[in-house]
Amino acid sequence: MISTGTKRGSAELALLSLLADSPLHGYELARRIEERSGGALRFTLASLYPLLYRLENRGWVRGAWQTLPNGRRRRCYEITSQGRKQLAPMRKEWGMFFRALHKLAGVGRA
Amino acid sequence: VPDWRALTAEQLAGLRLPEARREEVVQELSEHLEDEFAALRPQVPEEEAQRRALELLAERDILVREIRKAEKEDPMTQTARLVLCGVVAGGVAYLLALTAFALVGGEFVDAVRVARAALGTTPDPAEQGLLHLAAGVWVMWLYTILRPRYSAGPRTAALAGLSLWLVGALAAASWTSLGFLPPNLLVIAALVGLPAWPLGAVVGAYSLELSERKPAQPLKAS
Repeated sequence: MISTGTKRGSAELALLSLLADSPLHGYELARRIEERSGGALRFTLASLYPLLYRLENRGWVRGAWQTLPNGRRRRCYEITSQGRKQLAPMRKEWGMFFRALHKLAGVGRA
Repeated sequence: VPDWRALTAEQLAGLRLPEARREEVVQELSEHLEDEFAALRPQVPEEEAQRRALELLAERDILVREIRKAEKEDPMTQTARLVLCGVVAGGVAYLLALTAFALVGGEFVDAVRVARAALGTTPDPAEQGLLHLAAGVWVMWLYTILRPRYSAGPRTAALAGLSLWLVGALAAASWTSLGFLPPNLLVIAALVGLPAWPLGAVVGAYSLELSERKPAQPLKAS
């Protein structure tokens, strides 16, 4: 059974998946999502940062300030072990979701 | 070069958070705008790049509202969540066990009463309740350990509850093997706990999932 939270949680999955590869700051996260989805998916500021703060509050990601050689400061996020534990079942449920859509409406891996 | 920090602070004037936290958010968002500006700058004139970077804050009302919600919504740490939902699980299991004892555990209750009279001790229901609450916290912790492997849901929660029941039943069986607990009473105690812990764990896990799943936003398709 696919939970309601999973159906609505595409953004969480996207962020955690990217952060599982490497720590990133907000701008880079938004850019990579747009790039990897061929421009089909994008985060606005209003969707990206509130979600990052929520994930941080839950302990799934950890943000830390870094100072660059040019003096600029960036807040870089990395996935925590707790976040990784959440990611595995999330991926599984999304796999189920897409398989169900494929059976129902022929939505496949085009 | 535009002062991105000042521009962002001005746009987010409505963001009411503790000062230090507000400063941090403004700093982070201004860095985002500056990155966007730097990416656009080689392609378009400076004014145009600045205008387009600032457009990212066009939804500032939504941004402010969502940040405030995010900051308020989830102040609970995972530990606090585990304890609270564990208390729920333990409380439900305790009530179910009490009900089951009242319905089918008469023989067990009588035996405990006789043993207590022989030892000259008095019962402490509060202590019993506290033990159940502590066991509830443990079972919720176990659920979060099992969840990544077996996925979230009532089945995994019931499995966690069942494992607690099994440990309890084995502990009781050891008392039976020592001759302190007659086998028929062991069976009664075990049967009473069998539905109580899996059901308690399911209710606790449901409250845990609810507390974790409030925030979720779909991606925006362009």
